[in-house]
Amino acid sequence: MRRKISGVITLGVLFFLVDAVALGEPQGSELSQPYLSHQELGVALDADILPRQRVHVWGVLSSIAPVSGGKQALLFADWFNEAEVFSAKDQRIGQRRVPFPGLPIGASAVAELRMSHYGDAPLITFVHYNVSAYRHVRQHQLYREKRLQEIGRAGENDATFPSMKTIPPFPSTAVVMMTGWWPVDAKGLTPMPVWDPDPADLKMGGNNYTSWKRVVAIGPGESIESRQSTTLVFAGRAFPFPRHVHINDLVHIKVDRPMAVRLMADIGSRKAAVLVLGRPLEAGDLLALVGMHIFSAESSTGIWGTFWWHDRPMEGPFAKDRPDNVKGVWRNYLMDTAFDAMLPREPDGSARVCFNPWFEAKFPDGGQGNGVTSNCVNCHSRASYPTIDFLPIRRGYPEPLDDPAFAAGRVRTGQLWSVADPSLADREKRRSRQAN
Amino acid sequence: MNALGNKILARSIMAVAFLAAVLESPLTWAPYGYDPAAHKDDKPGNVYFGSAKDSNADYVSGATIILETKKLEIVTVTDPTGRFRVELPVDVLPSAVTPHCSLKGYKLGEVVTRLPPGGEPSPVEINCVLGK
Repeated sequence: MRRKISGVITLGVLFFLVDAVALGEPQGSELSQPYLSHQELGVALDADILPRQRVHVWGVLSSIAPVSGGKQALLFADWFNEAEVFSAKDQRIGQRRVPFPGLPIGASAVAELRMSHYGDAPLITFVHYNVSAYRHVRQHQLYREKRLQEIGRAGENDATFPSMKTIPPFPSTAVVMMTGWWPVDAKGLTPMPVWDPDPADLKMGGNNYTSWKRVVAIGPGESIESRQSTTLVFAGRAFPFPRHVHINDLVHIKVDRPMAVRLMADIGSRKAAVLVLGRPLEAGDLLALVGMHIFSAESSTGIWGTFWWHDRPMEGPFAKDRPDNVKGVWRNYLMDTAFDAMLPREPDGSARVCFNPWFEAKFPDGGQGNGVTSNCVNCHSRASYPTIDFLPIRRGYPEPLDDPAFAAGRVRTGQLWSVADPSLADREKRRSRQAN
Repeated sequence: MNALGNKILARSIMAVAFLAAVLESPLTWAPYGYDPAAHKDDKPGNVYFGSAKDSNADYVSGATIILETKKLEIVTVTDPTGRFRVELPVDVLPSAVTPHCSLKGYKLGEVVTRLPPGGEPSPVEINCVLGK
């Protein structure tokens, strides 16, 4: 038995070390010219500007996800995975990189620092930095805990919260994405929940995708609604006659064996695969892009766009303002955006809501509403070092007197939670010093 | 090299490789990471445990177990031995929990719940039977 376990560990380690591809000097796609000037963006918050904001964010999507020759292109596929951004070592010419989409979120975190959404229903998620964002983190050594501590002692005061410190601001060309992927069996039909807005979503406990009312059946075969005779079982419920969706209606990638091994070494990704497929990922399976956040550092609070796939992508408020330059399969994604934690207000006068059903709907109500009332800017304005819990959900502008995330002396991390955590290398060195 | 030497060499290589992998790995997380082993807040909880079996009474791994209440939903999967164990907050009584189970390739699972004696809230046994 011990020999078997050792063999498995050795194989895993070897895959980890060997499974990489030489990609040459790190390259990456920059965000194309913004559709609105920064001045315009500043003005935007004072008016009923939501349609213009939406057009802007659709434009950000089209700039990083164009379609050429009828084929989808993932320009962000050569961006830097979070694991590379926060690695103890710089990427060098000819260095072997873990192929896209890289390591999933939290794949290598130590147990005591992993966020523990105990009992939730995870997706397979990744964070991707473009070249500007990557260079900023590396040049300012923001991947090192020691550097964050230095900023905490003698760094610049934050412009908004002067009792806090701040990292150097990201350049306006910096873009960071989080992508969420759904495992799909390439040989059969795979159930996938679809989120439709429902007042019942406001319940206290959040809305895991396992509680959504509807699923579609994704498969490599016939197109939408061509077959309607199946009942699919998913998450303890039976769904008769789900709509059939061709895999080509979603952005997707094929899983090869090294990727399957790499992803299944991550406990959250493994749970996601088992929940959906009833087994771990295997070579030949597919990953379908179901949701993504895009952060663009064009303003001090960042511009946030969030996208999710839907089988009726031309309907409802989240389909509005989609320009013609969003092409092909990308038109199957809905979108919402936040430029501000408060504005423009919701119809009931409350603070602006902007969330992604795949990422935030699951968060429970901690007093100000659950994940379906959250707002990207509010949450990410709290990103700061030392690490702090991002829950409970809060609404509106920050309340620094009541929120430990804004305590004096803390370091704001440019709206990014991933910067708020130091690298393993620093932590290991510190432990080593303490041990000695 | 004798057998002992081979063993030591093999283990050394493994240890170095493992250490290298760990040191090379970044420590990053965002609010969306997941680790069921990292539950929790160290608060006491009511234990729910059980298994999933097929119609031949063989344990089934990878079955989805969902414990649904009005306030929250706990999602887990059976382990390689076909069993699971989770904890719910102590203020959630067993009468408020609706269990479900399923697995791709099987019909919707039937659930049998066994409450602890004496009206105690914990532990609660939940067994799932999956038919083809």
